[in-house]
Amino acid sequence: MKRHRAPIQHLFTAIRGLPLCAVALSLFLSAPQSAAENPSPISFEKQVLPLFNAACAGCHQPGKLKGGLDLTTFKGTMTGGKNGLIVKPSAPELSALITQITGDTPEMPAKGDPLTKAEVAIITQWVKEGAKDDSAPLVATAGGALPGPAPLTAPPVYSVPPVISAMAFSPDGSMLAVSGYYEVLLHRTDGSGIAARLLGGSPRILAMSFSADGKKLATSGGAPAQYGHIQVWDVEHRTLSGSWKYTADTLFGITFSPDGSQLAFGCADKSSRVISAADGKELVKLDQHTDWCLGAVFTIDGKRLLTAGRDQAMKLSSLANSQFIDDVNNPLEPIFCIARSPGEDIVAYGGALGGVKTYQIADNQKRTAGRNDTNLLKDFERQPAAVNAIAWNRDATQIAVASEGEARVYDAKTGSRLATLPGHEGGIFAISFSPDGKRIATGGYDGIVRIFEIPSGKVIAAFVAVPIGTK
Amino acid sequence: MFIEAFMTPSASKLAFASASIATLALLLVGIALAAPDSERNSTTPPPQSPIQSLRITPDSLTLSDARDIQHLLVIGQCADGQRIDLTAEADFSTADSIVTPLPGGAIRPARAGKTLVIVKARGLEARVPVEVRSAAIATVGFVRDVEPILARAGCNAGTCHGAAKGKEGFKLSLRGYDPDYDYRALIDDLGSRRFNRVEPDNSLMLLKPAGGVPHEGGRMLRTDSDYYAVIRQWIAEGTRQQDLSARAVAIDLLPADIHLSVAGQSHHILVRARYADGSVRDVTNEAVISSNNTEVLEVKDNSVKALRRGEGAVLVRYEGNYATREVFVMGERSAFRDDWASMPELNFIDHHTQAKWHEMKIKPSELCTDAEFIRRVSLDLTGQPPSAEKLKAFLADKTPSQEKRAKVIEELLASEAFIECWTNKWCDLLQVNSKSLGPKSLFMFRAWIRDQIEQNLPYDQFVRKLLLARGSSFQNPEVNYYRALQTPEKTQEKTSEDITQTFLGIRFNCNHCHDHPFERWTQKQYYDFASYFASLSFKKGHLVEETIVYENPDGGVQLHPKTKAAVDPMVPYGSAADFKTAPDRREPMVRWLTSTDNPYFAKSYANRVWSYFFGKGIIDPVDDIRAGNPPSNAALLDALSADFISHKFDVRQLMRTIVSSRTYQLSVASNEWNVDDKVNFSHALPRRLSAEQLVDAVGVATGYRPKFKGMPENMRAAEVPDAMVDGADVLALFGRPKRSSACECERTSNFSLIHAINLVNGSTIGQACAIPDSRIVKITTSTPDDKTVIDELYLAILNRPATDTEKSLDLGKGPDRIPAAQDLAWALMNSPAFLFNR
Repeated sequence: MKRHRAPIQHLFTAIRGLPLCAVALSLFLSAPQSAAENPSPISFEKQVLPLFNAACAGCHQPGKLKGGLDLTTFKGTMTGGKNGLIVKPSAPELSALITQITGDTPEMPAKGDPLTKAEVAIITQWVKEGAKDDSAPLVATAGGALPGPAPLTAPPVYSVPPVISAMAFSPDGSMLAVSGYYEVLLHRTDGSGIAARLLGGSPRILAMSFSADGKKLATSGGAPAQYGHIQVWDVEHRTLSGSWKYTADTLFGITFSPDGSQLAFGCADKSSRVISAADGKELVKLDQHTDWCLGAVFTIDGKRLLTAGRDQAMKLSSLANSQFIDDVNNPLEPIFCIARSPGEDIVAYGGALGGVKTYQIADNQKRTAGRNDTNLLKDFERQPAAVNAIAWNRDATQIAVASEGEARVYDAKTGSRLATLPGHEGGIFAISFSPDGKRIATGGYDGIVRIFEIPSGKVIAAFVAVPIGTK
Repeated sequence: MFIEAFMTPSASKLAFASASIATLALLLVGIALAAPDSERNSTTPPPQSPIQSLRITPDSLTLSDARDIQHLLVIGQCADGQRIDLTAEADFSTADSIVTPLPGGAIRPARAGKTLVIVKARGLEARVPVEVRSAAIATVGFVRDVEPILARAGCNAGTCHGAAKGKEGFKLSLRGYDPDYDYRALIDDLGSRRFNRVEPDNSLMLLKPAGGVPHEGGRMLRTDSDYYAVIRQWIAEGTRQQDLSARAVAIDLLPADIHLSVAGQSHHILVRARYADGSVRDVTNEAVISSNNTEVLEVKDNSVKALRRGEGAVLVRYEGNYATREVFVMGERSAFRDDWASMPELNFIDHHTQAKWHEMKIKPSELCTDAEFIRRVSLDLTGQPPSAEKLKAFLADKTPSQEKRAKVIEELLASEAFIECWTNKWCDLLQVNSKSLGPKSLFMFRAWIRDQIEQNLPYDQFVRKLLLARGSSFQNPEVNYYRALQTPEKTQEKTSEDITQTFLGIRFNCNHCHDHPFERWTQKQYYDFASYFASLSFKKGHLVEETIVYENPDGGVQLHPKTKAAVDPMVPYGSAADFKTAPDRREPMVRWLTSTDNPYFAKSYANRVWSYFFGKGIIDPVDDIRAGNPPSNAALLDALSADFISHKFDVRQLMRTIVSSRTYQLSVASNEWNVDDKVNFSHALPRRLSAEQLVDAVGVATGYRPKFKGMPENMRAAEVPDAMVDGADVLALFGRPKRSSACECERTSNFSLIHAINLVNGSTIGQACAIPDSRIVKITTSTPDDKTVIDELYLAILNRPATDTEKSLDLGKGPDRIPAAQDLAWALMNSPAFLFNR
């Protein structure tokens, strides 16, 4: 016995410095080996959780909770589901977690490819070793929000332009903020190039908003199917002053409250939230929608919130008591974007079927069976494709609408088309009026920023928003 | 070579001295592969003769780029004509590094040049010339390369993102029928959420199926797979869209014959796509391959495996193209003896059914008895069993059996009961119901149908009259068909759906919303066809309930729901005259529909009629004809259709031919060699009496007929004109359709507890036994001999004489005698012999 073991021990010593090899070897030798002899125990966070994430968390996650089970955290794993505990530490054969994924035709995962033998071995070994938790504790920020991912330390290097998904002119008109990959680029509007690259922790930035005084820039975004992320930059000092995570998917349609102290946005978990712009503290969470919420705007007085989303509804809620007030519109199409008029409680929406409409932000109590859309003010001409972005000019006389291939500008009152802004290839996802109302910037699928003169529709500038091939 | 490879010491001890070594080897392989199956016939393979040569398909390959992986099929040709797939066990090699052979017969290009692939199997060798024109990586096209992977991985399946509402906000067109839509979904949604051209591996559309982020559909793509590489390259190249002309125009499924004789055997298949520019591509790895009968055939890894004896088909779809290959799995039949070969053919039907039985090693049942025959044929042709008197006369008739059977067939075909029975059937098919038509029109339309059947109007003329109907619903009652199909909106769409299902046996309701998921029919064809009915208009006549159906040249236009453009009428296959030259745009369509050249028209009706006599169509369901639902006996159906056409669509002749065949006259009793046959008509299948048949059979047997409100006394159930009639609840319970659907399935024929409870406790049989003037009471009162009474009851109810044992029952004396006879009748009517057509 001793004679046989010696060379194996020797081998271990030789590769002790290489954790990955050691893991592979320990699996290879798993049967006769006790956990104590294993030089490198299985890590829940680094080895087990990624497997859950890949094969289980499509269903066993907080949003779905199939079988009452959440396999996205250690706590959820050890809590088990509606059939009780699934892990009996040190006893894989008595753990449903293991018995469900083993056998000739494993019960789980219910869809897709089964776990490989090596993957099953990792999870089994982790249970055998006592199902220990080595995940780093989540430390919330002062306001109670979870901290966002660490920002990039160096700007990304692009070989192709990324899709532009958000854009905004600064309130003084001097800069145009454009979404990049893990960053926001501040372009000078005098044509002299990039003023700053604000590095962050979100691969995708889906909406951005300057505070009225121009001192802060807030963005909503994150990584699809991974995390939602709100970032707030101090524009003057180019510093990331706030970075908080919410939900497990990207966040949409961020706007500042009129006093600049709060931020509202929509979430893929169907909620909409209002947070403190200073510390990210969640102030209000509304669960009115039945599908993803894609936009949230405050009323002029800052006391109510209008939210909209894929469930086709615009819902008005009181922020004082989080109470739902009413559906504002007659639902006809998923709503992709909303913008509130700068001067009044009027909202413009863009829809999945190309609809553009303005509504009074009010309850819909006067509706009857025959007339059920009493808040509707104007139904604009239908766009060639889904409307991805919508914006008002500062004096609330015009609405700019982005769909596909071309953007259009309309008289907000009469609905007549004032300008057509062609040139983009594919969808346009971002549109912004300059504060003086003389220019419109658009960007989208093709990664090119186009600046048009209004109302002539003449292209003033067209450029790739990011430096290509250089740092 | 064989001996070295397979002759193991233990095998040599087995007592298979006379069997060849190859056979022995196969036998061992067969045993090893056979699924655990208790079925007697499935586990032991039949003796096979040795493999004489290898045939490689295709016999040469030309590979055009780095991803142009092509497959070779290695078929071993046996002396007895069997062909065995050796692809899995064959060894592939080359002398140089121009190509790399992969498992499963796949050949991957490595560098440009010409070489030979050497294939070795079972000691035999074959060489395949291969040319690699280029081993460069070609640009990825969305339509040509990406979309097929979404289908193969199942992303756009009806249960996943292909569902009507998609899944989790991501919707693809069902099975990829609309690549433009899918492109938009992948590229546009939520600010290009699903791809990331800066870092393609971080694209959501790769992370989800590869398990990088949680995905309810699980892991479908391995990061080291060719599928992943193609999608990744497409993103890196800039997610370019591609014109629809890049789709394949046809696919070929190889081999032409798939031989699988025993359970456990499997066979590789090869799929090649043809393109408009004449190019051909191996798409075996991208095509979606499935089995239409998963009890018999299992499809996995480009290979089809036999699970048990039976018949099935391999279905392949690729970019809206479909191909099928039927597969017969013989199973173990070595003890089978073709000792019924001398069975006479009564007509051509028997020729084709017998050919299939020989092929499948089925021994048909014996002929049914005369008593069984007259009951069966009377129920099938007239909807009611023979009376006891008629039965007795038939049995007493000393003419040779076939002669008197022929005679009774003629009597039944010429009877009033025949007309009533088929009028009722056509009222189902044409959806004759008072809810759509109103009471007066209902009676008029029914009377019109009855007239056509009485005259035996040829089927094609009948359909022409019906589909070209116009004018007043009172003067031309046939216009009521269009009224029945009328819905508050979109009349022409339901009309188009129901007409294709009723008269062609194809289901257009699927391609209402999307291209047909199992057939070549497209959504465009749906609206093209609907357009023939777009200007059909309805207005009120002068009389109450009168409707005028007319062709309004300024009437509606048919819009395509997606493009919103008006579509011109067009037939879905073949060609019809230009609608603009016709005064009524339906005319060219109706001429096309009822033409003898239309491959579906005569065939679908011949098949439908066949199903009324066998309980199952040669294609079944009868109104779902498609490539994936092949006929169980194509030669038989072709011959039946041709005969129907050659007799100028004479429906009575068609029925005469069917019931005169020996096949129709087979017994319900099965034997060892046909007990498992459910599709080849080698024995009769017991069929539950339909609602009307049941009530009318009780009526014939006992004289009791339920009263239907507002209808004359003693009316047959088959004559009840409408489902809305009061007193017809029992008919609804036993599956009489409401007549609001074109589907044959609207009529049900199941037998469940609720039916049993009705028969045991309800009035259907109870009342018939209880009434004082029933035949039961009359016979019992007028006949002192119990044996005669019992015999009469058996003749009237079960349509056969009672046996001596059955006749030995004592009915008792005095006041108990009539109740005893009634109890006996009740018991007989509750027996399967009465409730089923056997």
